[in-house]
Order: sequence, then C-alpha cells, then structure tokens
Amino acid sequence: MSEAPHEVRSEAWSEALPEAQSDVELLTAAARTRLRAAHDGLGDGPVPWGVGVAVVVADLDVATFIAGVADFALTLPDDLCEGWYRAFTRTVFLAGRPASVAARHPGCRTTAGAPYAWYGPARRGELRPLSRLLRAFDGPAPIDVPTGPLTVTVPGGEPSGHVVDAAVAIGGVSTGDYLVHVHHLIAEAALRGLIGPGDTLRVDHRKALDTAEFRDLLAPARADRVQTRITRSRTEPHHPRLYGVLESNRLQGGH
Amino acid sequence: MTITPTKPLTPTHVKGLLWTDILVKASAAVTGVRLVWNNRMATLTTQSTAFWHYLDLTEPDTDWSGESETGIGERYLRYHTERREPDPRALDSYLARADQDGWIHPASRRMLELWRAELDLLGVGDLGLAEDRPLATATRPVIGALAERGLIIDHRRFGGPLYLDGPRWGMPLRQLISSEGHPNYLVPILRELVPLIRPGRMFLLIHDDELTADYLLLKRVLTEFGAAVTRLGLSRVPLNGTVRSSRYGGWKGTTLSDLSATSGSADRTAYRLGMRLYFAGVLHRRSAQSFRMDLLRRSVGRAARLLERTPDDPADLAGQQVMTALSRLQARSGYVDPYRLTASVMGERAALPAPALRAVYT
Repeated sequence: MSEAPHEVRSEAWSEALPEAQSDVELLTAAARTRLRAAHDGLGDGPVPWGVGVAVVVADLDVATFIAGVADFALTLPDDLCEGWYRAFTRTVFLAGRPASVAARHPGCRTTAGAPYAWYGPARRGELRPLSRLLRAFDGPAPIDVPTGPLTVTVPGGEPSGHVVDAAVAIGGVSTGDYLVHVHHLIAEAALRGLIGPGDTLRVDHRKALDTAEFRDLLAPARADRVQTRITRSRTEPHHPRLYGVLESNRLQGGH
Repeated sequence: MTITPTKPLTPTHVKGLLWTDILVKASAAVTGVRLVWNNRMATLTTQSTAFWHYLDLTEPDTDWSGESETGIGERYLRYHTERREPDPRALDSYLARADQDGWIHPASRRMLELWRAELDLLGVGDLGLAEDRPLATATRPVIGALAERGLIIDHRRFGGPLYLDGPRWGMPLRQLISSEGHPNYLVPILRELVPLIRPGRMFLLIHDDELTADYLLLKRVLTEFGAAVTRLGLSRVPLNGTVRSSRYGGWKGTTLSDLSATSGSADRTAYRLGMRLYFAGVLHRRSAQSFRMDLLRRSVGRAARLLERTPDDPADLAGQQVMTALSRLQARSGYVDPYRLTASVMGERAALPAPALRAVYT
C-alpha cells in the first residue's frame, strides 16, 4: 500500500518555531476544518463505513489523471460518496495495467486505453485480491509536471462555465506523494460539489505554496468553497505544509 | 535452472543436476537437445554480487584460491545472518563487470573450481556447467522487446521498478528491475533464452518447484515470443524433514563432496550409477522424502551389483529395448523423463548391458 502522509494533528506541532507560529496555526486550523468537514459528512444518508479506493496506475499524465480523479468522484453513487468522504477519501495506489487487471477484476471505473483504473470505494477485504495481484505504486522520483499553466476540462457534461482554480506544490514532492495529494484535493472537492461536470479546472504547479499568499483562502469564512490539502512536510515532520489549495466559484452562482 | 556459486552443492542441487544430466543424455539418444547453461545467469544477480561486495568489505585480503567449500559456504551463511543491506550503488560496478567481462569474484571462482572436480567425479562435468560466455543479448533490447509486446509496466521514470505484467495471465505483477536499477535473476534468463526462440523449437524449463510461480510466468512470456514451452519443476530434497534455502545452512554432512567421500569404497562407475538410482529413481519429481544416506548407500551397492552382471546378450536385444523405451518416453512429453526411464529400465532384473544405458547412467 502506498503510504499516505499522516493526517494533521495539531499537538504534533507544538514545538514549532515561534516565528513560524502564525503560519503553523493557520495551516493547523485549516487542516482541522477539513477533518471536521469530513467527520460531519455530506448528508444524513446511510453510510458504508471503512471504505477505501484503489487506483491502478500504469503510467502518468498529470492532466488526464486529474480529469480522471474528478470524473471518478463525480460519478459515484451517493452512499459511496458519503462513506468515502467520511473515510477521508482513503486511497491506495497500485502499479498495474488496467486492461490486464480488468478481465479478472471487473467493476473498475476507467476510460478505454487510459493508464488508470479506479476500484471501490469498498472495504479493505474486497480490495485485497487486487492488492495481492499488484504492487504498491513506488514513485520516489520528483514529480514531473508540464511547464506552464494546466487547464483540464472535467468530463461528464457540456461546458458549465464554472472555473475552479487550484494551486499544487511540487517542490520536493515525489511522484508517489503527488498522486496522494492531488487525489485527496480533487476527490474531496468533487465530492463536496466544488467541482462539477464540464467545469474548467486550472492547475498551477508551483515549487511551494506560500501560506501568506493563501491567507485569505485559508480563512474559515471561505472554507465552504475552498478545498485544502495540508499534511506534515516530508522534510520537516513537525511542520504542516500546504500541498494544495483549490477554490471554486460554483457555490457563488457566478455563472 | 541457475545455481549461484556461493555455497556447496546440496542434495537439492544434486537432484536438479542429475535429473538434468539424465534428461539431456537420454533425450539426446532419440532427438536433438541442447542444454542452455551459462554461469552468468547466476553471477549476474544481486544474490551473487551482494555476497561478493560483503566479502570485499569484510575480508579484503583473504586469499581465496586455497579456501574450502565449507569455508566459503560459512561466509555465505554469515552474510545472510548479518543481513546487511548493501549500498545499491556499490553493486553497480560488480554487476557491470560480471556482465561485460564475465568477472567472477575469486571466492566464487574457487567455488566453481571445487564444484567442477565434484561434477567431473559425478559424471556431469561434460554438460557445459562451467560455460561462461556473454549472455545472448543485453538487458535493454530484451526489455525493449517485452515493451513492444506490452508485457511490462515501466515505472523507472518515477524512480520505481520495472514489472512484468503477470496480471494479463491472472498471475501477480512481478518485478524484473528494482527501483535501484538492478535486474533480478529472471532478466539474465530472458536475455539468454529469448534470442534462441525459433519456430518448432521446444523449450523445457527445469526448475526448483519453489519457484514455480516465476517459471509459469517465464513460460507465458516465452510463449508470447512464439516459443513452445514445457516445464519440469523438481521438489527440493528436505534435510531432516525441513526444506530450506541453502542460505540458511543445515547442509553439513550432505554436500556433494560429503556424499562422494562417503561412498568411498565404491568405484567411480558404481558411484555415478548409484547416485542416479537414488536421486532420479528413489526420489521422484515431487518427492517430499528427506535425504537418506542409508538409501543412497544402498543404491550405490545395488549399482555395483548391477555393473558386475555380465551382459549375455550378443544381439544387444536389451539395447533395442532401451531405444524403444527412450523413444516412447520422448514421444510422451517431448523429452525423456528421468524418473520414468529409471523406473522402466532399472527393474530388479536389469543388468545395464546396453551401451546406450551405460552412456546415460555412468
């Protein structure tokens, strides 16, 4: 199983340096907001507990991957949306070729010829035969993204006119970690309705996301249309790091 | 089948070698056979090179040319007990030298020399087991050929491993090249075998039963390239009831040199025949019986008595019968099964008169 960076816990950062305190506090608060949102869930319906997703990855193209995550999350039945969201969109990444796996493991979501396939959300036991057949995705090399801004049209509908802006950190981020961060960011935003079919998703890849620059977006007042990805930094485990932030104009009814 | 020259030959190895020897020689009497054996298939592995690296770190000044089999084998055990993870980059130069120049660490060269003497005594020295030549093709072209057929998942550009796409056949994903860039033992086998594939040529993979999953996969891959492939998996010979890899030791008193020293009173021909009667006639393909020195001794004694009987068959009728038996066995599976042959021609009244049989068994 690919190791997902640990979820945020504020206690862990109590030893943080004083001058970093305000950033740390801001990120910790934003991370807590996300945890609370997941805990509260999306609705009141029945919830399947303890579900996770497995993604089979043969190759990686950042744009089609992002479109694929959004499409997967947007086409899930409501009860699975709820269960997976409350499970913090837990996901494992497995190395494998979707077409080779599909014959014996049907029930995945993929598009013909795509190098990824999604299984679940399902209980761990249901995904076990798949993870036994495959190997955890192992991608320690730095993530390689296309230069310049990336625009992805979310599949599944006519152009909606909505624009969703995301900024994603790539400095010191391995390919494996990038998959984890982006998957959480996009999937949770889609489950919460911040991304919809036909939306235009603009992704800005940057070396690092400066907390000061995103101060407004991280404020509690904006939380209902902002999705964050904050977790411990690989290099400084006591510091939370902002790996991704996404803002949608969907809920403003702007278009 | 590959055996890394890092330890003494154990009963499991002896079984594999004798089965191979009988199979090749008996099949050669009725059809064309070539044994593909190349030491580089064994030396071009991290299993060998990590051990060599360990020896160079711990004993840079040891003169290995006079070292005993047990002495080197004990170092191999110690190396596995200590479980040192070698710096992956340190192995690069070992693998490169072994691949390009056929370089073998002096300790392994000494081991091969010691093996050779024992294999000559056993009558398998002429199989070409000391063959060491460059592998038929390099890693890159063979990986390229696999990629062309869509048989691999290559995550090297993400800093990850390269895998063989087992799932297409319902088998697990199998790593071929580690994330450190080191090919595992399957790669040299593919490098040696893929270029040999021709229409109508049949491949028989003789292997350790414990590696069946890998060889099933190899069979599928070679078939994908157009080869006709069958497998012969041989069970390991347990020692005192346990099957263990030789890296865990427990082979004291049962190495090939121990066996040849024990049957001291028998002459060389009786030793060769007796070893074959035991390892290919008493122990069948999937035998789970522990190694038994008493049964081996009895087989060598029986061999001596068989050899003493004077052939009284001037027309060589027995010889004709042997050829018929060989052809029948070969027709059944494409090769002569050593156990079936041994069982069918080595009955109670056998006298080993036919030259064809002597050639196979002694």
